Amino acid sequence: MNKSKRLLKYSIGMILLLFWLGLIFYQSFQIENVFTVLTREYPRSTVSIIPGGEIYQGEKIVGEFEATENYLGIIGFRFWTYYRLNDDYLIFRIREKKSLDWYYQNKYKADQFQPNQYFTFGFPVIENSDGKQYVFEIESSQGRPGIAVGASEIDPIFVAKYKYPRDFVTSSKSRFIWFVKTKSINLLTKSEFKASSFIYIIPFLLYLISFTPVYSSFETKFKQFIKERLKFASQIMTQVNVESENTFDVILRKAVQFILNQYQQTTTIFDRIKLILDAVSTPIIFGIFFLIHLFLKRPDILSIVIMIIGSTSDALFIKSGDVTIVILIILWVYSIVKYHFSDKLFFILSLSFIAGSAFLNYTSLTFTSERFGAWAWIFLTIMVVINMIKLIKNGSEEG
Amino acid sequence: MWNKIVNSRFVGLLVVIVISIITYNKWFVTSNIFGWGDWGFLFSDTVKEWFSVPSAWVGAGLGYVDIGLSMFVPVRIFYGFLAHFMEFRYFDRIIFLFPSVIISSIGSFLLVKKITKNTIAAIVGSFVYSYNTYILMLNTGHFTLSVAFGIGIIVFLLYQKTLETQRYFWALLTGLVAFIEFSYEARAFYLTAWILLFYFVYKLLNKGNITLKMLIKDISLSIIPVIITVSLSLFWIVSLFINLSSFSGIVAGRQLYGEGHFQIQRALTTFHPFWTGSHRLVWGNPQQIFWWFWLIPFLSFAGYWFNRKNKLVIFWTAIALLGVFLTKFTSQPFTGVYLWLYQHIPGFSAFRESSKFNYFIDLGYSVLIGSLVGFVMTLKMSKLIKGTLIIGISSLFLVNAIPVFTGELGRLLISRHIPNDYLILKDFIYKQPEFFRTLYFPRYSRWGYWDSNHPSLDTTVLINSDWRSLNNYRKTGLEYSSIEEVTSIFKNNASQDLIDMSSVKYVIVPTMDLENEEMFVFYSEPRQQYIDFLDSLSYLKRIDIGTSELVIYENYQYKPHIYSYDGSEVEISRISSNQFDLKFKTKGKNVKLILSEIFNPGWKIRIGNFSWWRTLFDRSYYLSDDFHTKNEFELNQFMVPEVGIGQKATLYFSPQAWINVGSIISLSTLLLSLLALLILWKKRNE
Repeated sequence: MNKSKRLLKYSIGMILLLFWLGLIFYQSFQIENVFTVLTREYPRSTVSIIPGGEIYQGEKIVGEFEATENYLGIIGFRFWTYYRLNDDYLIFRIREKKSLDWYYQNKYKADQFQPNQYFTFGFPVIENSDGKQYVFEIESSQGRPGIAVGASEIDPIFVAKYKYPRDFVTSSKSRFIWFVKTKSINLLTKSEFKASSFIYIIPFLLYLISFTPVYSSFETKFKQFIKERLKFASQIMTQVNVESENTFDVILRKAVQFILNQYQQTTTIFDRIKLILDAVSTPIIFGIFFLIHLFLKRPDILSIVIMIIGSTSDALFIKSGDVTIVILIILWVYSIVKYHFSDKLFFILSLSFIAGSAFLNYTSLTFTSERFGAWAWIFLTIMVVINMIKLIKNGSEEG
Repeated sequence: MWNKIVNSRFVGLLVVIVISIITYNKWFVTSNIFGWGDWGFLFSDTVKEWFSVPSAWVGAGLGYVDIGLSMFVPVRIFYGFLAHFMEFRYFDRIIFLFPSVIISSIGSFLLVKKITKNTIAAIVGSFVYSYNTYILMLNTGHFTLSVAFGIGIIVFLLYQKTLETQRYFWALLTGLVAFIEFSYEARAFYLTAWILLFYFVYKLLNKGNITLKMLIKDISLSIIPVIITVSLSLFWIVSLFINLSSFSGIVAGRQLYGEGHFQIQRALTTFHPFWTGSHRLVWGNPQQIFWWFWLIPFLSFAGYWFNRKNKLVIFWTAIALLGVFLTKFTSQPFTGVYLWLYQHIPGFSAFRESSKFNYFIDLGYSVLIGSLVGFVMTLKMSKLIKGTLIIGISSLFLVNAIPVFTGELGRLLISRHIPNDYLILKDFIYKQPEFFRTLYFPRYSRWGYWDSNHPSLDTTVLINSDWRSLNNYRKTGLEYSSIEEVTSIFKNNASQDLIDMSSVKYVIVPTMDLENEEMFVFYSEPRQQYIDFLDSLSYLKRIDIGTSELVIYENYQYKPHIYSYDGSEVEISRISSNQFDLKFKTKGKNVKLILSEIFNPGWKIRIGNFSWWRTLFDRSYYLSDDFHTKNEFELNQFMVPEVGIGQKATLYFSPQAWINVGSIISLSTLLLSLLALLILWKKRNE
């Protein structure tokens, strides 16, 4: 490989890594919008009172949580609107648990709520909130059947947001580093962020797969390792006698007996640990080697695995937005062109995702069900397009 | 012998028609009246006068621009013609109820039969189309779409035939049938036109070696139906474009509606969001998808898989997938695409919500599941297993027909009866030759009689539309009271002038006939409170016309349709709802004329002799618009600078002139098309 080609390869790799980093920043902004805000999510189980169905006049939602940071300033709560404009006013109140007086309360028109989306109740920022217990209530003032909202079924059901002042964050280097670290840890607790980070690195992974000659150079080292493992395995097979008609049974029993014999013969702890490590690592390394070997010979299968993991992660964890979908579609198209995937793969995938959508539709994960449905549709479309192109190219008898 | 019968197209058609008739037995075996929601009842005397040339201005209510002019052929011509010979219960069946069921069944049968060449597959395909939840909901509520969709399938088949045979005869016929579809529902035609376009492109791509000559022939064969449909529709299209200002606010500025009701899961499973499986729909309360509906996409795409070498199957799979994508509306994936199409693709703005794209899915799935059945029929397995499979697949759709068969679905499956009070009222109004309006308080009754000489008004509708600017009621939420809002307009000092100048002679309080859906659904307060309120108005006098429950008040001071505000005498002849000829009997200056139709800048006055075609070329033909204003009650007011005794004048709704031009072109096209069709048919037979 000449220098310029190698440089181009490295440059593309770097660009893809930068692309990944850029999209991670984009995603973190999408999740929290404002850089200086930290968000903590809470599941439905943490809300002490949730009326079932519509929330009528006088009924209330009561939640309790411990602030994990200072500068508490927003509570976001997911409502279910029944896809209508509800003519109700909800009263939001918040106080420190040990206090008898409400710190803040206000009235909100329910017709501005979006189904299953967080509605954010803002209040004057509490500077020293860290470690304190807070109670909030959301009460219906005029909810009646047909014009009332309900609590969403989706988890997390509410979020607490901490609005750090920009001056505080940028006042010193150490504070900035601390905030970036806290923010990163905060983001990493979110499954949507983790899933999207994985999806954004897929272009780089697929690029890496394409370097099959590089992996071949590792093959000799693996071969050496395998030789030693095989020696160990052959000892098992030759030194132990077991009578059974079942091959798997023979191998298993021989292995156990051999390890037990060897264990009894060893005298030092070091030898015993080595023996256990050999026994455990042999099948694992065999498995890994087999996979690497397979991927070396069949990078297409590795691509399929990565792409399926990507699409499934998207369906499971990404709640909204099309960026991840667009990236994954582009990568699917790239893989199809590179490895000539057949429409059969997409037929199987589409039916699997329809089944996933159907199953999830009867759980509280309706958004995930929708995303699975979306992927089923994408796979079906890819399947038809592949077939159409094939038929247009080859020609076939109509009807 | 048995195989011959089973594979006979005639037997297949008979099966789907008979099952349709059994399903919709309420319509086929009785002669009752069916009405629900917007699908109202009409007396024959109301409809008879509709049989006339297309009219831009409708003389119903306080008058309005006829945006439904595109539906002129079925609603005005067919209805109007038949009303001379029969009652509503019959002509409504002939024009809407029966075709909505029969044409859909036949069309879908023929479509699947053509692709699968198998009668049983075609029967199952027809079940898929006719008994999916969307079409069932349409058939019990939105007939114009339902019939048009059915005709759309025939249009596709004719177009397919055109391209296959390369004959102009079929192209002409496609155009004529497409126009009928267009007349029933322009939106249905729009969707069919996209299918035809996609088919044309798809066919072209699949042709392989295509010469320029072949291309030109294909294009010319495809353009003919478009030219015919557009030319036949020119009677309203010309006016729409030339007089856009008169129509503004009606066709523009509408926002998307129903977001959240549609998701991709519902689209994939063809599950209508409000389908309950039994009783009538709960609007605004989307239902959980029944588990067995999830089998539908599996069956459909299995049908694709086993027939994926058939180009037509691929085509309809693509159409179904396009339908799924559009029907899911603004939900995932690509949430912004629908809005973009709505804002940028011509014609797409007619689809404020996405349910109509179910048409693509229903057609696609009927072909795919039909193809699956066709595949099953070719398998070497026992007849018992095959039969069980086919019955199982059919049952998924036929089970939806049960609430239609029993009538449990309600809506347009419940027989209604005209209450006797309304027959008395009809006679009472019909016999009076002079123009006046009736005002229903608080809400219009579906049984109330009206015609162009006696239009009816609905107070609840008016305070939110034509009288909105006069409605000062602003309370909302818990403070809101429907009776307060509806009576507030009469508490105004000018209320008497309002109903006088609006030519309201009678104010009517409808009955509470729950069986006929004639109920006070709008109001939480008892009916008596409304009667008590009207009793308290000094300018209304309660009269007895022989009704038992219906309460009627007379307003003795109501004004005629057109009158002079300052006492000048004018003789008025009504030529049509668009044209009134006037003859002044007294001399006068600055004569103020009131036309008690809601203000529209399209109304003009011509002093002197009038001929409509001259208005097309002469910009100063009418009196200047400066003399035409809106009065305090939103009505048309004209100021005529000077008139002499015997002076002639004409009040004319100006967009009508272009409608006349369009009508002439449309009629000529029709005659020429029929003539050409006849010649081509004769030539073909020779």
